[in-house]
Amino acid sequence: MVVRQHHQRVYNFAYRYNGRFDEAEDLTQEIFLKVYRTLHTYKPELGAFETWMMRVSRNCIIDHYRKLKTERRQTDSLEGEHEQVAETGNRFSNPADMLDHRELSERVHAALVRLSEDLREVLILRDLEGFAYEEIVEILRVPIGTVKSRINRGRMEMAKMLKKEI
Amino acid sequence: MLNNLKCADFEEKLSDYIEQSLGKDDRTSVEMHLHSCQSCGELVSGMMQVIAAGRDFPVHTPPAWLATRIVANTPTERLSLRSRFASFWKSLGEPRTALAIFTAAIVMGWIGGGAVREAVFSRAEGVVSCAYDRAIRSYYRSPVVIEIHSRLDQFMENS
Repeated sequence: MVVRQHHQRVYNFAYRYNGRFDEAEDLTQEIFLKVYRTLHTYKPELGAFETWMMRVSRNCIIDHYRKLKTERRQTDSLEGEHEQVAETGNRFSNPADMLDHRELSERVHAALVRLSEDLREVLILRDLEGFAYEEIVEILRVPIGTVKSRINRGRMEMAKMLKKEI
Repeated sequence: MLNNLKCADFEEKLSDYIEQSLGKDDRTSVEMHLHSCQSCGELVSGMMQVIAAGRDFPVHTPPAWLATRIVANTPTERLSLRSRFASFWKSLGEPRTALAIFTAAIVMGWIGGGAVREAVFSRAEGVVSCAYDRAIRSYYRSPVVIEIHSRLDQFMENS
């Protein structure tokens, strides 16, 4: 039940973090195993299950990412991976608009993957996953001032990177 | 003070400005700076583009097999020793397990060869002949049979 309900979100979170579908699949599996093993530590009175699960996911992804960091350069992580986009929403009546939007998403994701780990994770949680600041504080266990400052810096760096590309 | 906002100070307030969480004074000073600084204006529109792109980011559908694989590899519950014992015996009653045990017994018996078969059959033969002897003895000692025999003897003598 938990798996069916949350695996898409966890899968997308993992993909957004590292930009690889194959790794996102393995990570999703790993995350749910960790969720199962640590389920007894979840206390409903301390917050929503989803927030707790995202914290477990984030820790798992960070561990995985650190292991891989020395083995691979970040820049090759997106090559050939964007063909599998399953849905881009129904808001684009014009195919050209949809292509433009998809291109922008790819550029944003490419820039996101180039960001430092600290900035990337807050941007994913805030701008892609839509978590509130308080939830991000709960997930990352850092002060709200740090979260806000990282989000601001991350957005600025992203904006500057995208501007350079144009 | 409001009018003298520098680009670095402006940048610190940028996210709050875009998310409309600034106080009135700060907002006014940011807007005044925006009117006078073109590069900061470009930065604001760039950041808004980043936020919009993040909000509209495509949601990928995981492969259909992924949930099944996760469920298959995730233990459903922690079993006590008693439950494990019970589930072991229960599994023996399942047709697939019973068939496997039956097949294994036949194969092992076949592999065991003549010595095993001979031992089994000679023992079985002993048991059968012993039972046969007992049955015969009981038959001849039973009152009905004795009565029949005595009547037959009398008949033979009279005739």
